[in-house]
Amino acid sequence: MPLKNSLKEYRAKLGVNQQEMGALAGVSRQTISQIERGDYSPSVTLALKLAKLCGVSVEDIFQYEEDE
Amino acid sequence: MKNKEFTPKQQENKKEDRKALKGFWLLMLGGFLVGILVGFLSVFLKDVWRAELLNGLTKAGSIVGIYGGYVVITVLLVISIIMYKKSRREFADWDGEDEEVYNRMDTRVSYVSWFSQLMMIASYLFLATGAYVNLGDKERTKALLDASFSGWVVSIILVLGSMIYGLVASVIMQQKMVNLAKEMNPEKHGSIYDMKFNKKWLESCDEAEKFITYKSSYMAMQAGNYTCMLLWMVCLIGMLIFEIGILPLCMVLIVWLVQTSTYALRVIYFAKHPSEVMK
Repeated sequence: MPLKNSLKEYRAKLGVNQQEMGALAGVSRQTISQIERGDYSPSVTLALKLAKLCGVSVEDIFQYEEDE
Repeated sequence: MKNKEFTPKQQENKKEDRKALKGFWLLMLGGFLVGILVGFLSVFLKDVWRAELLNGLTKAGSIVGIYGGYVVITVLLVISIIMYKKSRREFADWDGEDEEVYNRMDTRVSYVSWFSQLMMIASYLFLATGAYVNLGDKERTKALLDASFSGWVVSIILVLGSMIYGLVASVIMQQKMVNLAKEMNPEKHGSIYDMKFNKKWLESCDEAEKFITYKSSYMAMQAGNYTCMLLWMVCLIGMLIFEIGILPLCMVLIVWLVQTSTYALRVIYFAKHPSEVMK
């Protein structure tokens, strides 16, 4: 899925590791890692949770780009 | 009379069907020809080769049935222990972030989980094989008893022993790997000894993990359907050549029916209760 994200940068600003981020968002460390690598696109609910944790909007973290 | 006009979607459907129909008819023709060949061969084999085939299989079965379980289960157990110990060592040194190390450990956990299931299946298989060889045929059982009663008793004990060995090995390896998985992923819950383990484990999975589980389950269902089709053919041949009766064929069809119907009924249920899908 064509979904770019800046989750890693925002997580670094928060000063938490993947495990801690996962615990805050109610998902596993692995899911956070997969989202950061672009291997997994989160559901709307999870995307909103992550945005709220980072204190930004969903669009600040996730950007949708059309396939060429 | 006015010709019926098709909607664009109906026209698209007809085009798709026309495209796929050639391959479909080729497959049907191939299946028909294979069926004719198998039917002819089964009559031929029954008259010519049945006795030799049955003899050979029984001889092989008498050795495999007793010792095969121990060999197969031990091989799987040794591989599982090696993989488990490797994962344990890596987990002790893991920094909690290195994705490559985590993926290696996680892959091994999945493999050992699989091998544990194989051990359990092997224990059931070899119990059945051993029981068939020692108890399944009255004439053969009488011959074994007449040859050596103590030998026959030892065979029975060995066969039962292989089943217990397989089950115990399977449960212990599953418990070890589940506990390691829970240490790797602290949000996971569930004890392998709990009857509701699968339900509790799935509940503790997040959306990405559930997606993997559901996708894998769908593929397992498809593989199951193809396997049932194949087994139906094997049971049909067995019925015609080895006179195994219709029961095995019926068992296969029951499994196929349960699998297909469970899937279909769940689809209907979730269509009516979409909020249940995300739970």
